[in-house]
Amino acid sequence: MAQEVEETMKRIQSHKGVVGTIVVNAEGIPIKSTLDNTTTVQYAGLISQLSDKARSVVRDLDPTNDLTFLRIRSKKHEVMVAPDKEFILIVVQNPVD
Amino acid sequence: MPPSAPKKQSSKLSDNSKDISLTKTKTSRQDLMVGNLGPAGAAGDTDWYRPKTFLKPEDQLQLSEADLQEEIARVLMVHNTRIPDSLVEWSWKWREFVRLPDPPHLVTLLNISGTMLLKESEEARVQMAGGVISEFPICFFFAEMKAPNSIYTLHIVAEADDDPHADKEKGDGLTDELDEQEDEDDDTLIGDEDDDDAREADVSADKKKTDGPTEAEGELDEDEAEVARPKKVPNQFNFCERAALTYDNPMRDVTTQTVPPPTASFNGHVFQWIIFDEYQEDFLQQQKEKEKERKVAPMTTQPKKEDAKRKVQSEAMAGTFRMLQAAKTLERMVNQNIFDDISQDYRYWNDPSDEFKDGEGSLLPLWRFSYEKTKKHDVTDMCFNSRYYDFFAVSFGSMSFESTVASGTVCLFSLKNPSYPEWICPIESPVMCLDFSMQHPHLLVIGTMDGTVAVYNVMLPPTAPQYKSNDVVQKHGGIVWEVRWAPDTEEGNLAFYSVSIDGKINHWVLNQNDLGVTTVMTLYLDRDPIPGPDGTMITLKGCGTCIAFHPTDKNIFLVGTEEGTIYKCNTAYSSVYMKTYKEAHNMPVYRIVFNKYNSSIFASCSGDWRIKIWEDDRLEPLFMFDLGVPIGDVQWAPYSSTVLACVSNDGKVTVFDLNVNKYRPICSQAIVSKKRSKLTRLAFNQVLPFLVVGDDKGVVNTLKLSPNLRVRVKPTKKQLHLSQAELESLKLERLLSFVREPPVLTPPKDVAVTH
Repeated sequence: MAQEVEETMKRIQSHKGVVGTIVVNAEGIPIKSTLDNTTTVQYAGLISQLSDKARSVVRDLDPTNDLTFLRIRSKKHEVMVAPDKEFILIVVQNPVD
Repeated sequence: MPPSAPKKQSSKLSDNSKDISLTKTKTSRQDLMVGNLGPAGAAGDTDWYRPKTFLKPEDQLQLSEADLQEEIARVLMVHNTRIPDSLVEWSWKWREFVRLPDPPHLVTLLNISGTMLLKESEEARVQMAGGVISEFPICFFFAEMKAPNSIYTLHIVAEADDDPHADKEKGDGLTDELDEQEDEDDDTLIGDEDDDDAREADVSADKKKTDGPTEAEGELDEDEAEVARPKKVPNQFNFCERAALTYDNPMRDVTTQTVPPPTASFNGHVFQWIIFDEYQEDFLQQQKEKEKERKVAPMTTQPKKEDAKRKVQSEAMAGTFRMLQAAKTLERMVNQNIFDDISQDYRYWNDPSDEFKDGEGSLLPLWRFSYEKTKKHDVTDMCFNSRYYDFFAVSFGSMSFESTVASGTVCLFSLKNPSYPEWICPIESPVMCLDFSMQHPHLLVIGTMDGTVAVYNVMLPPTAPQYKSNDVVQKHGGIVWEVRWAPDTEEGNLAFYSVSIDGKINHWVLNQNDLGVTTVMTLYLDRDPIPGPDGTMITLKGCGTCIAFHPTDKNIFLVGTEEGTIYKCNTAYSSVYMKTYKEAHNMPVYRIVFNKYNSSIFASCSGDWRIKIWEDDRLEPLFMFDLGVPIGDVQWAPYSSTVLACVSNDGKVTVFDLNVNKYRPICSQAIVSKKRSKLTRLAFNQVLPFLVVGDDKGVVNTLKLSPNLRVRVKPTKKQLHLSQAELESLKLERLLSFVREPPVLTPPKDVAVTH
């Protein structure tokens, strides 16, 4: 199954407009990335904070609810975040390529 | 004394005292007001005060005005009227009563000797000069009662001045006194009688003089010291105080410092959900403990270790699984961004030009689905899932004899991820057909070229089939051309039918562990047996290519064969055909489908370029369309009773609406290049107006039907109460009534479609 994850991530990276994929572990440390070092660290730090906050918002409104995904649409990119308690998957895509 | 007297007196007294209080408390406004104005005199800003009323005892004597005005004179006298007179006492000596002297008029109530001195008096002077105070009390307070109930008067009497007794005593014992003074050698001065005792003073002065020279030399210092030191005044009780001051222990601070207890600062936000989570955890813990209590302890320690190991493993698995899910969702999102315009079209775009094209529609190509490893395969079958409308299965195999393809694949695609299949199952033999169960949408049955049938659970990873026919005793003798789920057996087991090129129609039952098979029908041809290679006579069998079950009567089914014959069979009779549509087609029948609204109508397509629409129990078709190319598949639209679509070998999708045009298709559109590939299969989506077509390059195209291709029946005013399904079947019925007319007439001429 781990292999499947690997394949899927590879596939995502090969998709049109995808700038990079980052896998962040529970501690907020990037463990796998296709971006350069500084960008990766920056994304990992900021996105993990943001997803924590977003989860807090969702959970605070309804404790039985939970955050599943997060999409941030910016002028240049779309950042897609899959937050989990053990990891965070981040994909940065340039949607208008 | 009259009894009324004291009362009067008291009232007068109280009046008097009131007057006094008046004069004394002029500053007290309230008292003043009440006193001046009385109960009735309230006025001005003070009238809210409660007036002062005097409570009178109830038994008070009522006096007339005259009585009240009457003045009673009171006289104070020096003799006591209460003194008994003529007191007598029994004398035992005289044996008679003896008259006692009258008691004095003086009554001593209080006698306290004071310590105060008049400053100007002699004693004071002596005392201030360090002298001695006389040993007797200075003054007396006399309280003399002049009359009963009268005011006491106090007399301060200086005894030294007035007491005659003292004078007399001094006068008598003057010399004694002197002697005594000499003897005592006390410093007390007796000469307090300053006026008449000049002589005494002289004597003492003399004495001092006489003493002076003798003692002067010796005691001069002493005298001076005595003079300088103030003399101690012995107090009344003649006692003295002695006190000693001990040394003070100096105050001393002793402090010790203990090791401070370890502290740690902790802070954090507490949200509602954190509290909620804590409670949930606690609840789970409690549940666990309860379970433990129930179980007691039959478990040994060994399985616990294994359990822990397994638990860790399963947790890791769950984590990976979640990550896979997340990755898959991310891929969908990425795809959504990439194919954003197509997604919009898929949902919302309707060809506006349809309004001007009378009765003709178009197909809008949407996504193309393909899988890299099946590019050389043909799409042999497609089936939408009953639970997820945008989820469909595609089987990859081969349609032709010359094909070199030796393996097959089953892929499940979702419209949400057009770039990659959700589920890929490689299979040894080319897959020829598949079917999703309606009741159990996770079960997928497939039939392969080598005659095997297998059932997969698509919720599980595509590793091994749930059920697979036995390769030796069960499998078909040739290609399985079509599989269809059947109603559950009486025991509640799932079941499906398969039709194969070996002429057998099998009924498969999913038992606990294996598949049970019964051959429902063997398609023997209605021909004489021919001699085989070894001389035995062989009854030829028809090669089944397709099967269709009656929508309402589950026993009845139609089988198409390679010979072009369509058999109507019943599962109840395995040797008799209910009806044989001989020469229905001249080439293999590729598909038979029942109409979705009228179960007696079915369509068939064949390699002889024709689509025929049949009615049950009518050996001649109602409609016939010739497209000029082999037709791979035909399907009725789920939304209309008169719309059917087919795919042909020249890469076209052709859509008919019998209601609009009985002779020509309303849409015929090339989807793939005619030279390079041909279309093989077709499937309508059950919910949305689009269809998927498969070609022989392993590509599945999605096509959206334009508005003209999905015309709904508009109910007339009388039909408003009818449902859409009823309207659709009415529409078909009306249409059929035109073509049915003379059942014995010659069949209508084939209408070739121009290309």
